[in-house]
Amino acid sequence: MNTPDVIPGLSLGEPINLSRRRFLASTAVGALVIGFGLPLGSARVQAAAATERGTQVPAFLEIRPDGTVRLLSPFMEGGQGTHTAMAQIVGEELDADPATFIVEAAPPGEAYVVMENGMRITGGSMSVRMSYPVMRRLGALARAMLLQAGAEQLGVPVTQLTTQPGRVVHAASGRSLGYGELAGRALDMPVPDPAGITLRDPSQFRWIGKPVKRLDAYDKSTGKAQYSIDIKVDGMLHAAVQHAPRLGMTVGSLRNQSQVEAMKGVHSVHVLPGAVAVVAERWWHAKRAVEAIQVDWQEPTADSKVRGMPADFSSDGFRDFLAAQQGPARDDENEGDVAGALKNAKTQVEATYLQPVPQPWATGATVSPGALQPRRFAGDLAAQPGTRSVPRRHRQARRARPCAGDPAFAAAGRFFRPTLPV
Amino acid sequence: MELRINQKTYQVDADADTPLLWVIRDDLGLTGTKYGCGLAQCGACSVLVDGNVVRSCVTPVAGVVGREITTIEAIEADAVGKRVVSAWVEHQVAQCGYCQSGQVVAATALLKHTPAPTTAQIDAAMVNLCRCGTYNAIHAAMHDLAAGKESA
Repeated sequence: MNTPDVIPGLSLGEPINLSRRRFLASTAVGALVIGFGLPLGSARVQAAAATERGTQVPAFLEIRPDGTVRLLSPFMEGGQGTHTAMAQIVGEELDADPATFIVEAAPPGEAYVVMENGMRITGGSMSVRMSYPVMRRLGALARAMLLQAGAEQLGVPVTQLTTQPGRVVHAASGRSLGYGELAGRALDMPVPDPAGITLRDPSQFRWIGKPVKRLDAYDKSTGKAQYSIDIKVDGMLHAAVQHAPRLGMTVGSLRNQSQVEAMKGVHSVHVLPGAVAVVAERWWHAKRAVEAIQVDWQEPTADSKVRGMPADFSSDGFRDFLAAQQGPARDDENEGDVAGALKNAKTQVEATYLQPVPQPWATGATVSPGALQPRRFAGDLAAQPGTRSVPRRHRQARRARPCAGDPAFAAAGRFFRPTLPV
Repeated sequence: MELRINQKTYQVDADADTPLLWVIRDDLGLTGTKYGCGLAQCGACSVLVDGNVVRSCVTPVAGVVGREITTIEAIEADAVGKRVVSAWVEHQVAQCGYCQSGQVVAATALLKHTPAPTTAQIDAAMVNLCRCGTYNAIHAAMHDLAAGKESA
């Protein structure tokens, strides 16, 4: 859930040529790592487009001196547990206990497009299904690099080495090295040819397919987990929005704009398509002010591109309209002799079920409000929302205000609205 | 005005009628307390004021001057709160987790007043919304806590 740190001192608007030395010098912990959250636009991330999916080990994994494994997940954690699942899958092949993992959301970048359908999106119960072999291989590639590093450090053939969770072991001499001790050397290893990698026999799985405690349970029980609404940037202002009473209506005049602009804390008042907004230093001031605006809402014009909600719309009316529809019914599933089985049933139950129409979004409503943070990159603005599709939000942000550099996407997780297109 | 939060004293410059939630989150940066509905309906913003659970999104900050406020950030400093967090982890309660700060605070408040609540008391006190539907896990954790079971 946390933001992959962008390396301090780098302007994301500039072409980035990041040396390993400069990276190491810039990390707070000075950890020896086999990988790191690559800055956007990095040559190494871009280069991944030309290689096989999920083989850019350094883009995904960092092993810290204490053996902690930091994994940048292509998928967003929203309560479904996918970050823990990724730790199970990668950890199984890396030979590292998922409990030693810290999983964070990966930034935009071709390296993280790991799904077999060529996409990167969190949804449709696809994350594990469509990245499973790739993420397994990723763990196995990293393990091979650690084994190679262990062979060099111990001065023995790699064939004499094996691993135990978190350690490279030389059984013949009884010596072993923790992954954290080898990570620095492993950094310099080339990523092996994926074709030469053997995956673990599923009968030997310890974590894949086994119950594992969620990695984020403690943080989420103590208020430490960060959501998009919690992100704060320097000099941040807050905006609050008053939406049109009905979809399709537009803003006419603001009857009391000057009074609202004079309200305490107000920075500015903005007219948006179908909404008005107030920006203030404090969100509470923005909310109070935007609620005070008296808007002359206009009905949609004939050429409106939005299919507006009629003024006489009501939930009950729409339900009755749907219930009165005639026409052929559609069988979603029809296996065997349904009619015969029903006819011969001892008990028959009839019922009418009403989906809570017409509020299909209500079933997917969250407690957490949607929130986004506009950020300034290289003198330009980009919006950073909570998201389940980092690449899509990234494109949208750039479209909204094309910027010279790439916004560092801290796509903070929140529970997904299951039915809301993102 | 002066506020006591998590055993610390803060000088706060806010309008008297500003909801406590926004002082805690925006002015003091304690973002563990969540904003859900803003209408005292969902309970995501729950904090303790003198040991009682309060919905901070509708509590004017001026009303809590001189009171002892506890937010989720300090819940483990309380022995009961620490037990609650352990039970929450043990029962793997959280899914998205957004409401869980409020749930843990509400659970702590109940157990501080009523160390061995009945099922009816648990049902009456644990009324915060959870859109993931973690209610069963919450109740399992509460029943363990009510029975005095210790989590690892």
